[in-house]
Amino acid sequence: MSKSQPFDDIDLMTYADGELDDSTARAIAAYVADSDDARVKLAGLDEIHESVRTHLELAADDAEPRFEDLWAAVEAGLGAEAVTSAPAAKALPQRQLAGKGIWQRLGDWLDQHTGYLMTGAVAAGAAAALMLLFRPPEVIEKPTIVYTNPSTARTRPAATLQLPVLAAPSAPEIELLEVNEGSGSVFVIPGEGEDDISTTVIFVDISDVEGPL
Amino acid sequence: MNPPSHTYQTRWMPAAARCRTMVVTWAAVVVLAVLGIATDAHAEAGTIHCTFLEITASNGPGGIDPGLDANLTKKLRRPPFSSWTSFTLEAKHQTDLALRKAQDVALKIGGNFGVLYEQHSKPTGKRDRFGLSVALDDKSGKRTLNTKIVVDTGDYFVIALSGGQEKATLLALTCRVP
Repeated sequence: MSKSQPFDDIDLMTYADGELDDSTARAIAAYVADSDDARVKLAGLDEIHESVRTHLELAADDAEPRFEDLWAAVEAGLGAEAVTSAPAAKALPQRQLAGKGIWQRLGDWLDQHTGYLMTGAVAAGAAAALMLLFRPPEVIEKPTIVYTNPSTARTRPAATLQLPVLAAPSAPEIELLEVNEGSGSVFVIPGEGEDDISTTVIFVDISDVEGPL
Repeated sequence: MNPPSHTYQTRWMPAAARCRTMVVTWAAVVVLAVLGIATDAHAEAGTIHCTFLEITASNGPGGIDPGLDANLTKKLRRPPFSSWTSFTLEAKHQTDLALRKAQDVALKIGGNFGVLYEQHSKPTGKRDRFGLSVALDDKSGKRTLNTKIVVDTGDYFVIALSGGQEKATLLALTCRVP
C-alpha cells in the first residue's frame, strides 16, 4: 500500500461517483492500483451504489402506474394531449364529476368563468348607467287633431288643426274630434306659475242649432 | 390555457353556496329589470277617480261658484271664459272609471255623457297620463260630440256648449289615480 499520495474515504466516494477532475481522478486511480485496502473500499462503494440504483429503479417502476392519472390530469389541464395514458386522462373528468351534485358542478363551472360573468355584469351596469345619463330628452310633439263635421264634410274636406305649441312638457292631446252639431274649435289653457294644470277646451258653437241639450 | 381554478382562487365559501348565491342574484337582477321596464313603459292603473262638473255660464251676477276647484276657477277667469261673468255649479258627479269599461253619466241639464277609460301610462319623470274617449248625447239621444283625448292626471277637459253670448253650458272632467 503506497502512501505517496494519501486519499481518504471521501475522496474514494467522490471518485466512485465520477465527480472528480481528470488529474485528481488519475491520481486516485494510481493510488487504488497500489492499495489493496483502497480497492476493497472502492469495490464496496460500487456495490452500495448499484444496490441503491437498483432499489430506486424498482421503486420508480412500482410507482409509475399510480402516478399515471395524476400526470394525465396535469397534462390535460395544461391543454396538452396525454402522452402516456390517454384513456385514463379521458376517464378522469368523468370520475371527478361522479358523485358531485348539480350545484357543485355548476359551482365548479362558475369558478372557471367567474371572470367572464363579473366582466359581463360590470359591462351591463356601465351600459345601463350610460343609457340613463345620456338618454335623449323626450320629444314633445305638437298635438294634432282631426276635426270632422259630417254636416260639412261633403262640401269641404276635413281640416287638420294644429294646436298651439304649449309650454307644458305634458301637453294634452286630442286624437279624435267629431262634432255632429254646430261647429267646434279646440284650445288649451296652460297652467301658469305654480298652477301646472292644463285645461283642454272643446268649444262648440250651437247658436245655429236648436236645443242640443 | 386555463390552470386549475383552485390554484389561484380564494374560497371564501363553498362552491355550491357561492353558485346558489350567484344564481339567485342574477335572477333577482333580471326580475327587477323586467319589472322596472314593465312599470316604466306600460304601467296601468286599473281604476281612476274622475270628477265631472256641470256648469252654467252666463252674464248675470254671481261670479264664480265657490264650489268649483281653484285650478278650474283660475281658468274661468281667462279668455274665452272671461266673456261670461257668472259660473254656477249645477251638478257634480264623482265616479271611478275602470279600465276599458264605458260609463254613462246622466246630465242634470239633460242629455248623457259617456266616457271610456282607454289607457294609462306613466312615462319616466312625468305624471300619470290617461286616454279617454268621450261621447256627448243630447236630450233626444242624438250624438252631439265624440272625441278622444289624452291628458295628464289632474288636468281639466272642458266641453263648452255655447248658444250665444248670453249663456253657455260647460261640462268639465278631471281624473286622478286614486
